[in-house]
Amino acid sequence: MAADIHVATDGGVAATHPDRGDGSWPVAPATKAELNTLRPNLFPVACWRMDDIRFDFDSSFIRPEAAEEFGELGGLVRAHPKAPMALFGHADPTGAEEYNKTLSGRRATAVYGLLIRNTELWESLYQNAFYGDNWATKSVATMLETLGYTQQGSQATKDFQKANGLEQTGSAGPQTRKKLFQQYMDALGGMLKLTPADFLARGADAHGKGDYQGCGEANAILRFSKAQDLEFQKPENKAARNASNAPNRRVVAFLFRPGSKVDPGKWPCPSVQAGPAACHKRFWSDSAKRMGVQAEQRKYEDSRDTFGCRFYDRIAGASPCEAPLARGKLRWLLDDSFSGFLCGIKVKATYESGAAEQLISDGSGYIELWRDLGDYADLEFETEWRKQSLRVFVVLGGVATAKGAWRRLVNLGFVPIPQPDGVPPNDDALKSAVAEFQGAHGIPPTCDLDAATQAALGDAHEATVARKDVPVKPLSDPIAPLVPTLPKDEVS
Amino acid sequence: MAEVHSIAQGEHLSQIARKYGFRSYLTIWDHPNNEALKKLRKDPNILYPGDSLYIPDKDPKVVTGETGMTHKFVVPIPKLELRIALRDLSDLPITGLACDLDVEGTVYPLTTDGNGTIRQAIAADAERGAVRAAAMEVDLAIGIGHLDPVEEESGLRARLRNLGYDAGPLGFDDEGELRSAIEEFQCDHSLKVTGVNDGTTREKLREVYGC
Repeated sequence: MAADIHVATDGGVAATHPDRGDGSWPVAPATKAELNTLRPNLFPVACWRMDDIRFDFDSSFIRPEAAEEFGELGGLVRAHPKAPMALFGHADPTGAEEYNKTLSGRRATAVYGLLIRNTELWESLYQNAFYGDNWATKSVATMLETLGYTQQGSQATKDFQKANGLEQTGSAGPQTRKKLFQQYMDALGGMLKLTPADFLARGADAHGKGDYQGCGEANAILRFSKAQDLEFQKPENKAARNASNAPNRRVVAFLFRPGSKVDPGKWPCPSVQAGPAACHKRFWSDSAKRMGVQAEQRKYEDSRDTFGCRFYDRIAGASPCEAPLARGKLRWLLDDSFSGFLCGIKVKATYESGAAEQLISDGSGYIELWRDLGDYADLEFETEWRKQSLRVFVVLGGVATAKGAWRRLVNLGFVPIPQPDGVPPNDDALKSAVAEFQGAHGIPPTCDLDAATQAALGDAHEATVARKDVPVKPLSDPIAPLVPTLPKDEVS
Repeated sequence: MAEVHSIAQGEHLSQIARKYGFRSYLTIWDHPNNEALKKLRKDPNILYPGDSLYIPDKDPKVVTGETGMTHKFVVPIPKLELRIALRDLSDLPITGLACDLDVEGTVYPLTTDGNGTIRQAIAADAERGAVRAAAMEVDLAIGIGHLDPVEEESGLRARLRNLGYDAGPLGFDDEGELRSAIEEFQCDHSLKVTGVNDGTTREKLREVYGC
């Protein structure tokens, strides 16, 4: 398990997904024909989101400021080697479903093209304008300026052509665009350069099925209330509606568990070239209600009922990139070997980051610790019998790793070292803690982290600790207040 | 003395039979006092915590034989196995995959057959194990005997989860995740997509899962 990342930039988010825990898979033994079918599920380990603001208005052309988000994506990819990626573009619910599906697909295509440095994909977007998404309007000027060619008019193009050994025509033809796309992609993508093999379907489909797709308007994270919708339908409020809808227009990338691979033929999402018909099969049975206008305004982070596509909901459900304002806490059971569960006692928690807080355990003996203030917290408290000081790890790692097992053993009290480090000091220290644990749980004392020990350790630890998401702060209302337009003669 | 045993999580009949000193679980399972349980659960390997199981008295078998002769006694002990079918994300069987089945610390190197299945005889009291396949980055801890009947919600969630549908963490309630898993399962298996845990869905789930 890589370190937890959670970075919010001006135009997006890059974050590690919450750990899924280490419980065991229940199976039945067989005396007749009993069979247990196991299929590891498709789950993301990290996510990245690029917001509408990083695209030209109503366009799939990526703005130069997106370099910041690609930088964060690079960090995420380095932290999760071998975790294959898939991209999902999203549009807002305004306009026709087909239009939204196409535009969101074009935005996903633009990001994919940049990541794998495929200039042909960009050339195709350039040549095939789609309503307002017309790259010819200003993309060339933006790219030239970003690359430092700032002369007026056609001079910038000529300068670029000269610097790249191209014929100095002053207009950007296919050859010039190819060079321009290449250099602009490098300027934005920087070190981050992927190949189709880094994606979920490994580039097996000609149109990227399984690797990148547009979800159209199906998965808005914000749905207007009935009153807002009525207001926004007035022509004079079009701009306000557009602004309020901005959070819905985004491209999200998921990095999946290493080794995940899908067959594009079995992948439910239609390609960016296809219409939205195939999406409907994967919609929730009550998608009309989820996607519709209800009396109250709904946000995905609160109600979790704004996505129309069940398949996407399943993948994105726990994603910090779709419901970004939740911080993880752990509910921790204070269990003392002398006094039992410690209820209503004062605990001082000092996190690795230096942050400290005073807590009082609840009626069942639980305290709640933040998961994002460092790997551990040092707890100090007093019971009737003694003053206690102990270190607990809030960031764990897999139970099969030495680090993950060690941290659980520390948390369960099998490590007699005060304030131990996050990794065992040596093999013997780990072995002796493992042996203690095995002794206490009636497992053959092999001193090794064998399967039985791993499973028992994972389960024993889960009995002490429960995960909990905590909304940090309410999202400021993204709906722009509607300023009443005064008739001209009333303005003095 | 005969007694009534209350099933705990993780218990199955072969394990209980062994605990009470019976060679065959059938002596207990086929006892008339267990008829109602047998009818309810159908499968002696998939019981539910709190189920009441009648443990009959042991009926010692008396065999007479001449002294000075060699007598051969054959006692049939029903075989207990673990059978696991591995499927990939596209729901295709993973065939010819070398994997290690770890049962209580004993590692059996096995290869999946044409249906993606591995099978291994196991001891009646085996409970903890793991399936590992380095080539597929598979490392699954398993709890043998921990699968609940499909009629119980825990059993429904467990089968959906094992089949790759997120049905919420086991032991936690999340209606949205359960509904999503049921709908996805119904969609994948051409059932009417309702999100409702009904008899048709449970029967299909039992069939697809394998028990």
